[in-house]
Amino acid sequence: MLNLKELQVLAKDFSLLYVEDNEALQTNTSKLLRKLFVDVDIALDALSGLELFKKKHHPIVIIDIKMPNMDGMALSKHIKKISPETKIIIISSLDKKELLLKFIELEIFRFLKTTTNVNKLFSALEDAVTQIREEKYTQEFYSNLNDIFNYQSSMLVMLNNQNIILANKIFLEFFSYENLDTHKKTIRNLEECFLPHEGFFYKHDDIDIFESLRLNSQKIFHVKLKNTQAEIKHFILKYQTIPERKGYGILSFDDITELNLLKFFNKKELKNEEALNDEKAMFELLGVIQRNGVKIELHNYYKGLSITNDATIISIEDNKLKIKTSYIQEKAIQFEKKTLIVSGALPHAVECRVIKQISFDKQEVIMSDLHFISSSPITRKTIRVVPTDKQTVSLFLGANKFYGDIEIEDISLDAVKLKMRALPAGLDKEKDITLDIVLEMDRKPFIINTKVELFRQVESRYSFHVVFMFKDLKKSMLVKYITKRQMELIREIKGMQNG
Amino acid sequence: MDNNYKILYEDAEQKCIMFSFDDESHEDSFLSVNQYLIVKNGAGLLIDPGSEAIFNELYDAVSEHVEIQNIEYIFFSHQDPDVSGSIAQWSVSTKAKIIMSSLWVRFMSHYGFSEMNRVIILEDKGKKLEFGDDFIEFIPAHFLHSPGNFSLYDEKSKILFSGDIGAAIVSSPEPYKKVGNFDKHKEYLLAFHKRYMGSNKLCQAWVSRVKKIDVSIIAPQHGFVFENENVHLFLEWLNDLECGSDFIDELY
Repeated sequence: MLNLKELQVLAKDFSLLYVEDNEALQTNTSKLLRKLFVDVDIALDALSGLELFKKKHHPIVIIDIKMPNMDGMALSKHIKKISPETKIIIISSLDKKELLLKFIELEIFRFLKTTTNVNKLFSALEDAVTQIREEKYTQEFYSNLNDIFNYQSSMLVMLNNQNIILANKIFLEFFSYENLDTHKKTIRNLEECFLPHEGFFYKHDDIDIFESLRLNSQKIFHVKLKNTQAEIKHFILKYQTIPERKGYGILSFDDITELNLLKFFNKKELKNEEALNDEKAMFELLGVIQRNGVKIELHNYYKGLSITNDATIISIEDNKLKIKTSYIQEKAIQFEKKTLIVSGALPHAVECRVIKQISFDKQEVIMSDLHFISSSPITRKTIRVVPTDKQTVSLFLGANKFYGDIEIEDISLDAVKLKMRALPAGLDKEKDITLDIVLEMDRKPFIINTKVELFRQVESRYSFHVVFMFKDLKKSMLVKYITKRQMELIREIKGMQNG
Repeated sequence: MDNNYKILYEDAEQKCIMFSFDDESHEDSFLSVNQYLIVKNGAGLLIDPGSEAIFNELYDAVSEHVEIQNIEYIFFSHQDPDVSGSIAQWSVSTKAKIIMSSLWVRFMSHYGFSEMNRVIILEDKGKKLEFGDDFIEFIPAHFLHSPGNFSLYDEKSKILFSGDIGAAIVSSPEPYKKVGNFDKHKEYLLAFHKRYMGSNKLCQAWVSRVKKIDVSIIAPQHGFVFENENVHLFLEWLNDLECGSDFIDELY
């Protein structure tokens, strides 16, 4: 319990009404009350007490039950009708049990016996003042929050678990509701309002909307909503948990309908190159990601080894993207140049072909020549590695050896990609082709001798890049080779990380 | 049990297979290791495939039941080498998605694995995932014994693949490693669980979660499987077990 001085500080802003017909008791008690409260009104009967209350709406009222004309219970009823928040403390010589039901009905704050000592009265007053302050604080908090919410240009709602407790004007207007209370039923089914669309966030079999939002509070989602005028709008949805308030979070809906981005989610339209090449729309979407402070994922391949790390977009200027990422990713970018950007907010991966600048000190990279790609290496399911230089490859067409420069670009369990200065005459899918490859594993030669089938050949300026699929190759040794090579590459790139 | 495997469940669409490949160089440790495979309509889910040392044997054994390229998921209950040591080999050999706790993803490069875009990360509360027409569920089993640990429940077969929970130190290989007399088996369970499991509170949390699902078999990664009434007896035993930090005075 607080001491007298602390209690005075706590109570200084509040007025108190004391209604008691016993003059002697009233004189003694009011002396005590004036030690705490600056503003104390006294009434000797219920009717004059009610008149005083009507003028001031005292937040705390102390009432005796037994009084002439109007008793304390009737007075309490009138006061609660005028101001339900008022804390009423009853002081009476009557037995509490007889009045218990009425106390509950009238939400009486505390009951004290006439014989109660001063400490119990002060304790009741401390509790009352503390509760009033908390209620006032909460009221002010929500009032300020409401103002902040209404000032925002996005639709905003505050959730406590799945229940909506605050919604801003734009949100209510979207659904043509006057206030939150009338809207609550719809809110309970908010997840039903998200319309199905490929790549969008909506309720379907294996997804619990609120659970997904809670687990992905740093991500953004695309959602489609229909307003009461049957207009369909495209929003970016983000959920942010409120620190230190368990179960509370804010949903924001950023209307991006005007950016006309739906085409990126439509497979048919994406076959049309024009949609994929719409750089303006792509940068708009990257801008949405930047504004929401959402992380993107970068993908590179270091000699076949997948290197993936998060990055944040710092700025977008003149079709150039400045990002901040980890040192190891910067090393991978420096090695491979071509970088892929992936995000749940992007309908497809964005490929970046040109690296303008890498700053290892600031961990920043400036990228340009960006565009959406409809298929990307990150959907590649087999692991390919680049072997060491200790390699020889011989190619046989039937029994004839081909004499030409051959180099392995990468090798997987299913295929090998060769770089060849020239192609042997008559190389085609029907041919009987044998490859004799010698690599190094554990400092010993590792030999692959297998029939292969021509899968694909691409001509570049000075060479051909030819992919051969293995036929009937016993793969267990190759698994061993690729895993060992992967480990070597991991050590190599980690070595770079350590300088 | 023929050829190191035992069919735990089979219907027209699905079968669940138990393998028992030990790393022979450590045979004297007597902590026999089990690996599991669920095959549903030709698609595979491999569970705790074990160390690099048994990869070749297990690969051949698994390919008797499912096309290796049709393995859709590989689940690693936790990070130990006898569970995850072959992650690089399996990731090279399959196109499967790798499922594991968020706590261990970053450590997998020490096993030679770096394909992070293939990982389905499990957050602490677990996850439900569609497999064929049914669901599999990853149930939190943290600190039992690994800090980031999950059991896998297969809704169709009602088998709970419990990882290290239910593991027993048994001395000799048996044709089918199934618990017969639970009272006798308790002594094999106790030594392992008393030291390896986090605390009684954690055991109770897991038991309480498991009691909400219909379990016909508990299949641990070491030792014997629990069937029928032994499932219930084991859960009751674990619920009352004092272990780990309950014996803090013996540890410090």
